[in-house]
Amino acid sequence: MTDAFQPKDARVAAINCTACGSPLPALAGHRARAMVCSYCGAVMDRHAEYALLARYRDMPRPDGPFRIGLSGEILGVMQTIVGIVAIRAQIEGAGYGWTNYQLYSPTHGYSWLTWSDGHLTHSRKTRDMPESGGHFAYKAPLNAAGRAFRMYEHYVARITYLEGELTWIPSLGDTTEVIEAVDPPYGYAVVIGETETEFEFTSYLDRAQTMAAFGVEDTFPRALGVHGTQPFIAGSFHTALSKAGKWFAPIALTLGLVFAAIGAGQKITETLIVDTDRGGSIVFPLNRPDRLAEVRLSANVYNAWSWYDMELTNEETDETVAEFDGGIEYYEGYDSDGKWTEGSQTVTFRFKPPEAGAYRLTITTGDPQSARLPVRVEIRENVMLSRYLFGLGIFFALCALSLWFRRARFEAKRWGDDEEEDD
Amino acid sequence: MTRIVFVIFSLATGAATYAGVAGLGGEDKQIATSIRSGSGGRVGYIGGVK
Repeated sequence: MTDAFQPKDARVAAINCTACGSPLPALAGHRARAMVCSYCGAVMDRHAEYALLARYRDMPRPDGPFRIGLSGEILGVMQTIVGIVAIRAQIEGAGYGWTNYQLYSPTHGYSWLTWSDGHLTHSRKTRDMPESGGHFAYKAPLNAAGRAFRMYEHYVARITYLEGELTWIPSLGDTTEVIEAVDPPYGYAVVIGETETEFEFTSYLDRAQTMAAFGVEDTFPRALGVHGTQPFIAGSFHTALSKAGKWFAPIALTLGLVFAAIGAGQKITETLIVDTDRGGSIVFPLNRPDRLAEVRLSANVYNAWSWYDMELTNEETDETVAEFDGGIEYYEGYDSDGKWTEGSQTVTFRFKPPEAGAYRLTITTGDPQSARLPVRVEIRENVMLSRYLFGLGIFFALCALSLWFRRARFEAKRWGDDEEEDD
Repeated sequence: MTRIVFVIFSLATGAATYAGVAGLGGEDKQIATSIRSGSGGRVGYIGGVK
């Protein structure tokens, strides 16, 4: 029955289809029960002289990067693709499809490589049964194989395509009830058939690594969405950003608080100018030209505004250093929302003195319409700003939290919690 | 990578601390302009001489 079959990959044994005579590679071990012809869809019994059992013509070939005969290493074991089974399922009203590749290893037996929306997983049968039985409940715990899985999906899988050597005698349209649970990067499935229930353990695979192992060039579209078993893997830069942010956010925010507490500087002097029409002045020393000095005006302005012209002169040279003006305005009242206020009874002006020395600040009312009220003038030196440290602290905190947000978004996609958002 | 980011964040924290102490960007624009003009900002005064 067998003869020499020479595909491109390697010299392997082959049989001829008992229905159409086409040469078919015989790659699987003896336990494989069925051989499905790649050309005519004939299903043959490998354990009964390749007797013809059924024939499915014009089966739609499923999407996927692999073909029968390719070999590669998966999870440290050399595997050969010996069969292909395409599955369709309705999950919460939506149709999904994926391609299962039957794998054979002379040392490890049979398992599955699954291509689903560009994701790759490896599944093998396991004898580890769930610690407790029961029905499917979304996100409910399912402990098995020493892991704490959470139930993910419940569906009925239907076979839509068959090819190659398979471990059972399949029929097109066969259905199986499946309960899937996940604990990324692993999954666990309870496969409930008509006569028996089987359990499968799944591992999420690195797509690039797996395709390279099988010598397949990855020209396929990017993986869609987040697979149930896909682990969240942050890039090294993002991880470093988050780690550094956790350290530096509290440092920057603490420094910002210290600056806010002591940044008001030292009061040099203060005075009260009663008659601002006549004007008044205040003389003060400024010893730190590299630091901010501050003029703070306060007046008991109420539902009014006042405007001041100011002149800063060097007391020793009598040279005008700066001229500036500014006002105080404060309003308050009541409306339907209650009390409201607007403005402030204090205004500050900050500057850097051109050099250390004595200065005089002269203040007069700057507008005929201005309110005439006594104004308190306060001069401060060595004023510091906390805004940069607070800004940086917020940035660092966002860096630290970004990884958490990204992980949360990833998990939301995994569990379909973001569907509303995507709509 | 972590070491590089830690160095960058250290430099940024140092720069923000220096900027806060030195009061960079904290000057009142009108006063700063007036001081920079060298004449007290008054029209008619040239060269900073009153």
